[in-house]
Amino acid sequence: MPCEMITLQLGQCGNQIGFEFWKRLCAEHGISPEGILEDYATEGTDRKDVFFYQSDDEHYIPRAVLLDLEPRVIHTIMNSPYSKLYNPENIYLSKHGGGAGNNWASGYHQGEKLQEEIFDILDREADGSDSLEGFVLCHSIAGGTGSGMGSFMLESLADRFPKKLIETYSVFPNQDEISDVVVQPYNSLLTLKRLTQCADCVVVLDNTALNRIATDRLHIQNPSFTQINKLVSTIMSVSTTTLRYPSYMNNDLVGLIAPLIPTPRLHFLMTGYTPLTTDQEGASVRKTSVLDVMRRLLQPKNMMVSTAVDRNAAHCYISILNIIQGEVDPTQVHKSLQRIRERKLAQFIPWGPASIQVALSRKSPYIQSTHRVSGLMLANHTNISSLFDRALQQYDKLRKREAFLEQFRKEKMFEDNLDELDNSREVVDCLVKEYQAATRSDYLTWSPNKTD
Amino acid sequence: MSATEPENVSDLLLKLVASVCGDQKPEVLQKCMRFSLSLLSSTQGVDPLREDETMVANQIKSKLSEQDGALFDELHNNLKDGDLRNRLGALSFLLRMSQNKDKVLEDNFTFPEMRLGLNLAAASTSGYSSQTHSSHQAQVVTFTPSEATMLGPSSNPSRIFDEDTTSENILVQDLIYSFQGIEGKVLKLDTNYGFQLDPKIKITHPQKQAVLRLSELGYLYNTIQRGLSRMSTGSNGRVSDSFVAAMHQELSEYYRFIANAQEEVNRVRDPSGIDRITLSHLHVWAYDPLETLKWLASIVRACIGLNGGALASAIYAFSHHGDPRVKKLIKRILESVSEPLYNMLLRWITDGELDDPYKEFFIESCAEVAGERMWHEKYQVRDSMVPSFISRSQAKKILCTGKSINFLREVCKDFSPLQGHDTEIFRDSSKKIGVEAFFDSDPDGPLQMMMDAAYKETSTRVVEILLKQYQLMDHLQGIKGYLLLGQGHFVQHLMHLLEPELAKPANSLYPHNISSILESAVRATCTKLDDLDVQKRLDVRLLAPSENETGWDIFALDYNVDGPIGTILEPSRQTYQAVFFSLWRAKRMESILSAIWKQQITSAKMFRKMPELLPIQKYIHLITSSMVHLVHQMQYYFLFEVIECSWDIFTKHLGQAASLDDIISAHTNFINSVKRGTLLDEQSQELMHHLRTVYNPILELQLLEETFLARASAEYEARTVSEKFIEEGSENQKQWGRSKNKDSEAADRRSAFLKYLSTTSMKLKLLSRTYQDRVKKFLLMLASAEDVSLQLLSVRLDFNEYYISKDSRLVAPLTYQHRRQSDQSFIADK
Repeated sequence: MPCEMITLQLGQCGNQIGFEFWKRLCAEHGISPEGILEDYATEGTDRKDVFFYQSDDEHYIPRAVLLDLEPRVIHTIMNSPYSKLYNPENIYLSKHGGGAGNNWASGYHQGEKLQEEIFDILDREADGSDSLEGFVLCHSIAGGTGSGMGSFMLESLADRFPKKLIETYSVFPNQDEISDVVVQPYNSLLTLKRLTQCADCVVVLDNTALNRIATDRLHIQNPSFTQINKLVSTIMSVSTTTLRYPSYMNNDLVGLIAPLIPTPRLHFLMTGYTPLTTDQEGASVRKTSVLDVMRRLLQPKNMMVSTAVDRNAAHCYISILNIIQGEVDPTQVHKSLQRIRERKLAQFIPWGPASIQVALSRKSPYIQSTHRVSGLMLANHTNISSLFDRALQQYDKLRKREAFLEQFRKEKMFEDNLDELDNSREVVDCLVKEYQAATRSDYLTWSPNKTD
Repeated sequence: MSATEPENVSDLLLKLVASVCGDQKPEVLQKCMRFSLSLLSSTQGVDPLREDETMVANQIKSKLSEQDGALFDELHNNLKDGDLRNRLGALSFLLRMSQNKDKVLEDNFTFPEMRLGLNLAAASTSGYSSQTHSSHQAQVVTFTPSEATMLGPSSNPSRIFDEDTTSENILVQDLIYSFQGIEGKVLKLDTNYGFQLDPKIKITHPQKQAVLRLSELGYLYNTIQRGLSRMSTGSNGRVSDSFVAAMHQELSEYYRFIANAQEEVNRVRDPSGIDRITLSHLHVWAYDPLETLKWLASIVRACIGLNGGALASAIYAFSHHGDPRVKKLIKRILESVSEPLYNMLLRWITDGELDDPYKEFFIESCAEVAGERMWHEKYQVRDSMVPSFISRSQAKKILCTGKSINFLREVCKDFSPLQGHDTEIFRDSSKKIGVEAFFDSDPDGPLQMMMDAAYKETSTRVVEILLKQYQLMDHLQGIKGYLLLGQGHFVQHLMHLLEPELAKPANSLYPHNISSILESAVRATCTKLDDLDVQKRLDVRLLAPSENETGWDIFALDYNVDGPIGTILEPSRQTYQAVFFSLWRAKRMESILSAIWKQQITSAKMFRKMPELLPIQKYIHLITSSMVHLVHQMQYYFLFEVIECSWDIFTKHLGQAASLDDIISAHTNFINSVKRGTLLDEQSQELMHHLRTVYNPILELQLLEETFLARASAEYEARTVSEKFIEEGSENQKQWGRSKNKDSEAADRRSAFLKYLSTTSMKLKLLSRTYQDRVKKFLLMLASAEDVSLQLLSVRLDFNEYYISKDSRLVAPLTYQHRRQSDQSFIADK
């Protein structure tokens, strides 16, 4: 069966969101925590084989590889009811278990050392699939393992599987709270370079926005990781729904992201989801129509990326894909699009045809939802550059003071010089410039070498 | 007849006459007596409303005291034991005599108006009756009984009785002959089978008029006879046979009248002259038969040459007459005429059998038709034979009822008897309901209810069998999934597997190769095992290849249907194929673009070290993304807005479908709206054609991109090899890894590559321009299309007004003025 995806979960954050993601997929496909198909789900017409494979005894096993340099999160997973779900051979814990100490360079080098063992696992998984479409990487860009080892994995995957797509779900750090990881700006920048150069599609999960949404929209005072991760797992599962519930279109990853990503570097996607509810607050059911959903998706407050308003550049959408689930009358979609266009609710690029694309998708029959219609927006918006801009500014602040660089210098990459940091800054800066150029109609003639 | 009875009657009558007339001369009394007798003995001239004997007896009893009533009963019983023929007449006469004068006045005791008829001038009865058979002239004028009683001897009896002419007897006899259609001494047949008086005979003018008027009977009789004999010769079928029989039945009353008249003539053929039968007698007697014959003649005239249902319709046309007598007459005839039709109807709607050797029924069958066409063509309503008391919709329902039964048997192979409560109802009622319900157009009548029940039951049965036993929904889902690309992943996989095969020239394709690929694609993507039947029906269809075509041009998926499902789907097979063809093409464009996109995105990482490629890469990216946009939007439109929306309506209609015809029409609507929506109908031909030219640059881009990728990779390889060589050379041999030779080689290669890049960039620019021009033209065509949804599609394809900003022509169709005009024309079209 074609178009399989192999999921890599890296580090504490990556494994946590991955864990929630698999939990969610199991529920949607009617697979028990032990990997056995529930009785009520045997008649399903969904495609489980994109993310699962079946073992000899009919167990469904996730095509997932769990990697971490410290045992805490993976141990939690192994003590949960879902411990039997995963293939134990696919869980790799660093032997000394010391972690990466929130150091990108440490994570990167540990990854380098462990690469043979890791790629043994990956090669085995890749061989086990009929026609592997690509990899999904879950990680955070701020810590040590997810960012450092993740960066190494991105480079190696692009090198070893040049024809496969690499999609990442990358968690960006929360800007609203003071992080205990002082080197976070370095880590982020170094990871951003790899995300720009090696990944084909990055779904940005901005902790800042996720926390704001949890407090402002869901009225949770101090949102826990689990609550935030629920949001993330919702986004992850809905964004893969057209792959798992095949319909007319968008049935493979290319079909899903090709209309979103016009040029190779402009591949950072924002997400938005509506309606947002928590388990506690099921009672306040709003009337949801297609137009409602599509309009709300365009509102910044539902965006899972916090972007500063940049008054200088006329930021605009490069492309939008709305995945609408539920009881949808296709004629309504058309009317809603018409309305959005008339009211100019969305501003688009001037250098090529673009529009809101809609994918109507089935919903899992096994999960009850109080909403008639729900929608996920995957959007390529030039304003995402403000996130990178912020990362650059924070990096610059630290770098000016040459602060906290000792740990980096201990690692091989930075022994002699800090060129890698400068180089990364250059790449990210260039990315910001490209996004800005994409707001103008002369984007076609823009080139990274030209200064503007 | 015993000797005492008539004496008793005549004695009684004598007493009656004496008491009514009072003291009179015996001759006058006798005259009155005879008149009374003749009136009594004749059935004519009395109350045209036939009264029931028991009813009259009851009426009499109600007037009597209890004792007298018992006595009357006894007497009445005695009377019944005797053989007095006209008991009813006698009883009602008695009844009427007992009533007081006022009451009698109100009563509809009628006497035919004799003078009225006599005053009408008519030279030829045949000409006359043809004018007067219309209904209103045939009315009976009531003649008050007081006048009638006075008419007798007291007023001026000579006017009736004292006609003195020697030829009157002959005239009477001739008339009686003429009643039977036979020529007499003075009455001769004319060319129209009417009767004319022999011109040599000299009679008075009033007599002549009277004779001619009476001879109309003969003319009418002849008309009827000739009509009937024409209808009974040859095999005209059961309906006309029943008609002839019914007419003869009606005529028997007329024969009785002739016999009575003749008998009367014979009886009084004594020469006394005073009680002979006069023309006036005949006139009185003939009044009712004349009316009846006029009607019968009209009916015969209307029915000649007709048979079957048409005959019934012709008769039914007479049935709305106000005169209850006429109504009853028509009803009697209609009943017997409808009987065979009714029986056929019952057999048809209960057993689905057509028992119609003479082609009289309003449903015909065509024996050669079988299989998928059976439902559509085997049975038809024979329009000419639909009786006018059956409406078109009823006829259609009746047709469907029997057709469904046959369909169940022949096509569904379902021989189980129709069961259920409804069946019981209509089997019972078919015995109870008389034939009159057939032409009784009462919408709530029992026959209607039975037919509706039969219709409902057989139709539901057919629908049920189709849905349950033959899994109609599964097949429709299968078609939607496979032929209309609902199972996107299957289509994608199939396309992926077929790619190398279909790229070959069309005439080198082997169907079995393609079939096996199809099979493996199905196997790889199926999620449900019970789809097996659906998957087995999936088939490959290769169109006849012509020159310069590749497999892409001739490949189509097909869905084999047979049996009851085929009845619904087979007629649309071609359309499904056409739709598949066009969707497949769009899907192929998407797949090509996906491949280009993927190659470009992944190779971009590799070529990062070759910045000179960047402009071309970017160009390819941007063209690709604009193409991806168009193709995705077009597909979205076809698949969701056309197919999915039509499907929505279709399933809604299917849910409500009560009969196979409902299902068929719902399906036809579905397939038509899909055809229209996917630009495959007549009006959109030009659009479709242009859409194909829009797709062409995509194929060109594919070629260009592939060569570009190959050249660039080769160049990349060459560079890495030479770099490696330099490195290795310098490391291992401690000497320069470069040589002059290699250097110039590399320089040549490099310049050739750069040259290639510049031509490629030129080609790309050209390609991009061609593509954009075509898209703009396509948008313009869409925007000026009459269909609003196409106008809106044009808007959708240019959602961010990118093309509009480049081409001012595109603005025009979107202005309010233009929109309003086209809206109006759209409404006018509707």
